[in-house]
Amino acid sequence: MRPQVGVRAVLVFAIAGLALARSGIVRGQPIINVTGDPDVVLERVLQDLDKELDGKLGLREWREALGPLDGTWEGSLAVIAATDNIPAQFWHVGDRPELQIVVERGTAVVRVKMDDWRAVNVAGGFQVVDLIGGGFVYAGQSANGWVENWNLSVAKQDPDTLMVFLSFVAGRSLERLAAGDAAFAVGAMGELKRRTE
Amino acid sequence: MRHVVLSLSLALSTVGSACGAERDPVFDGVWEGTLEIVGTHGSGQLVDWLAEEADETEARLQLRGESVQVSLGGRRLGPAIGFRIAKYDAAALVYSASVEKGYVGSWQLSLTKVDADTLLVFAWRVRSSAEGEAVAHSTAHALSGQLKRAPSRRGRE
Repeated sequence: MRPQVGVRAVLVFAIAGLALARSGIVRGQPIINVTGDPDVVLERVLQDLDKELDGKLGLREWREALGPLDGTWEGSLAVIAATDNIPAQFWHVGDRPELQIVVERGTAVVRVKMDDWRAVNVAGGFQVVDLIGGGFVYAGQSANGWVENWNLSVAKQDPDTLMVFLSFVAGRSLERLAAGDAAFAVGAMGELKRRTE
Repeated sequence: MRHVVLSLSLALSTVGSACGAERDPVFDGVWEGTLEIVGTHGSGQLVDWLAEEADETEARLQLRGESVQVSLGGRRLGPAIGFRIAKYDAAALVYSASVEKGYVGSWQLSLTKVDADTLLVFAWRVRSSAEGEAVAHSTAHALSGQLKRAPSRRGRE
């Protein structure tokens, strides 16, 4: 690598690290993970910075128009996939569970409708990564010899419509892993609407 | 010159954080196998990690501490911000986001250990395109399957 290119790369990595950490692309994640060929990484970072900071694609305006994830969202999902060993009491392919997500300032409460709305209880609660027009709502916990992992990718369709792509995987905790295969997974997707009242 | 020194220290701290990750015997290693496409949403447009009309794809995860590399169909996925991993005991979430050519894309891979050398994976790939006036169109693919730990070339992982 030529010296002037090296200095440029150092400057860009530093600026990119700070800019991406502050940009809201991955809110609350202060460090970028730099892997791969440095020149390829540099090019990618430059491209992303160009779009993110100059707003040539209007992403900032789009994000503002779609609005934040904060709010109460309700609707039904369609269960589209499940492993063969899914427990009888859990969701199965074809089920249409009703879901409510309440997002507020980087955290969320997820509820499933039984007779009434019941919160999905996970230690530490659900965390939210608010991206441009979408993001992630996720939680994981280990308790009583089991681990479970709730992950929802969300994408705004308009300010009041949210597509949700949910995965739930569970299995034995590390201390009980040798007890045998018990891991299972289920996937669901659907459209939630913003509740305004 | 002072700016260059400041930038150098910031850059080194950034890169160093990625390289100096703690080793994790639970998840560290190379995991390989096949993921089946178990669901789609939106248009059936082709994606660069899936061969035409294929209903499954080869997958490879390389995990080392907080460092994650993901390859599908022999192609390494390379969002500029990299993949991140959050772990909970025998489960983990790998996720990333990228901005490219008018699309905002995200990956989430939910991982759970089946045994010491097997991972159950359920993944979602979501892409949203903006068409102005605050209306977006999304496509999504769901993938699921088990990955096996590949033998380490050094026999230490």
